[in-house]
Amino acid sequence: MTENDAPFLRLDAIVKRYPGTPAPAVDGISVDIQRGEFVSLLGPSGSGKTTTLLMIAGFELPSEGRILLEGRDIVGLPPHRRNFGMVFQNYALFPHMTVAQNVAYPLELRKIPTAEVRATVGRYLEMVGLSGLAGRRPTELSGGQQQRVALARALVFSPPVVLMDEPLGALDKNLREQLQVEIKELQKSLGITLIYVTHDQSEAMTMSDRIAVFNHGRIDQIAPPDRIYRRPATRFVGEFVGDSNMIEGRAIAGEIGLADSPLGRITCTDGTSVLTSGQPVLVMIRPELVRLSNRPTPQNGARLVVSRTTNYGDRVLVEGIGPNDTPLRLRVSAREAEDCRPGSQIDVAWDPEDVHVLPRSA
Amino acid sequence: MATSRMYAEDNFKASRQIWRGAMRAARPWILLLPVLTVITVLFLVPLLGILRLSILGEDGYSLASYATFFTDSFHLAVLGRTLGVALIVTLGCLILGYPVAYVAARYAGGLGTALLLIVTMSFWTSFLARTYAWMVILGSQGLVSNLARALGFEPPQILFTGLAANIGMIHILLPFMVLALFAVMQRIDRTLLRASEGLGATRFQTFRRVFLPLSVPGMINGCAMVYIVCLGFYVTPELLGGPRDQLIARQIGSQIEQLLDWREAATMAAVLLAVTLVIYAVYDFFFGLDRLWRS
Repeated sequence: MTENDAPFLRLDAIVKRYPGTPAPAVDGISVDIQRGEFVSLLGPSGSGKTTTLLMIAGFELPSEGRILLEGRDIVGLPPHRRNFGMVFQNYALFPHMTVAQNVAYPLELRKIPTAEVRATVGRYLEMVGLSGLAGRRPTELSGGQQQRVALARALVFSPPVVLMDEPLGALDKNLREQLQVEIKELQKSLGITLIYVTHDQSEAMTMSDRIAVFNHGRIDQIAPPDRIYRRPATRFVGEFVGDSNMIEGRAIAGEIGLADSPLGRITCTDGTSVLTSGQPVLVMIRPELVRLSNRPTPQNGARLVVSRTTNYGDRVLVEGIGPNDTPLRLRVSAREAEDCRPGSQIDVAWDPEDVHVLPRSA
Repeated sequence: MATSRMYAEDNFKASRQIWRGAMRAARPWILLLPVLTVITVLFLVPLLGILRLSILGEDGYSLASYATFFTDSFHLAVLGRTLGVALIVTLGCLILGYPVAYVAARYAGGLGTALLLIVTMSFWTSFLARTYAWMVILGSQGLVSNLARALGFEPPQILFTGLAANIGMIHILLPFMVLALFAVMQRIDRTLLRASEGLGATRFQTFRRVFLPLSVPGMINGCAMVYIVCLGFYVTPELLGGPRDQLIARQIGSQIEQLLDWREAATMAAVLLAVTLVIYAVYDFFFGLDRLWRS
């Protein structure tokens, strides 16, 4: 492989062990990230995503493995020589400096002439919509404004890679969604390579080019959001991202794309390679892809007794019990939910295209 | 009938509410009553007595003693020396205390805890004991002099000089400085230091441009505390310093003990109090008195 073919940023079999803890915090992670790509590290707390980010930033040293930027190992470089932009959850703005001084800080460290610093800071403050607040102190700003300053500060020196550690975690929902759009637009228009740590799956879904789903120090799957959602590689991914029905079944030997389950036979058009030998499988069906049916379906459907309904406004979650005491969840519109009172019987069905099959071990 | 009863009830409720409100407002003062009593009887009243003494002449009240004080070059020199020594001691404490507080704050647990323990232990040890310890160390047959002789030269006089007094005072006041600095440094957000390094600053640049400015409130608190305490220091400079290094507190003492001039002593005490209050006011004006205690 020549230098040119090498990925922009490569994590190569990274392991991080902390003394006194039995399991490694990060357990052999390899990721290739392309220039200009938006990659989210998604996972529950303690899954190793933040540790991974800190190793990329240089605040933690990997116990094993290499981190390559354009083919060059940067593990030995201290943080200040990696030239990466970084945004923290608590903003980490310098309280003794004004907004403009905060944004100017990385430029001044790089000995940029004063006139140029002023012009660049002005441009970036405008970009994040804070032109009028240059002279304010961070404590005089709202959370959303503070995070915009932190954003400008992380971008102002045109770093090759920008790292963000749950940057919107402390903001309320509306502001969070607004800033998600803004960050995504900035990232695209400036062509930034962005690595974004979050535990919020919808945030990862809406913003990322690819999502790496972390589970106990390993990456279960790294793929574009729709693939993560529709074709999760493991049970953990399927359950962590979005809502799901996981039905334990068994592939029918000799049949292609057919599984036996407590809910009856289920046809699968996807993942047929695991469906040949009669092995145990896990069948995943997203609740929003299960629909009410006006007649019983012998295959790819079931009759349920409704046990509970929960109204989310836009949709209603219906939980029911199918044959063999198998629970199944579906999301329907509020009007459809009128037929789904607890205790009533409903017939449901799904399309074989929407069924995803995993090996049971995963 | 019903209406009037309603009014009566309303009146009753209203007065009860006023009473409750008054009780609520009075509650903190009730809690403060014991200490206010003690301070008034044992401190404020005698203090006023001293102030009165300073303006009480043979024939009525006059400011003559203040005129004497401010035209007496000897007294002014003592006052100036006191202010100067306090400045040296304060700077000494700052220079020695800053690294200690820094290490204690940055390496919390282990080393940091051990350092703080040492500082607090010296804080708890009687300053008289510590002063005598310095007399032993700095004396003509003490550790320092013997060490100098062992190295082959005749040691200069250290004990009973201004230097010895300054060393002793720095040692005794150092814990104040370290604790004041530590209280502020410990609250400096570590992610700020991380952010600075991530943005391209070396460790030293991070210290100079982020940590140091953020520790300034601690420096101001520590310096104000040490300086003000130092102004009234009596025993340590008296025991360790020479006769020519007398500070104003000692001067007040000798006015009373040797010259029996209560009026002049009261005047000097009033001047010292005024200087202290001026420094306090300047500090308060710039940095807010509450910060001194909040940390």
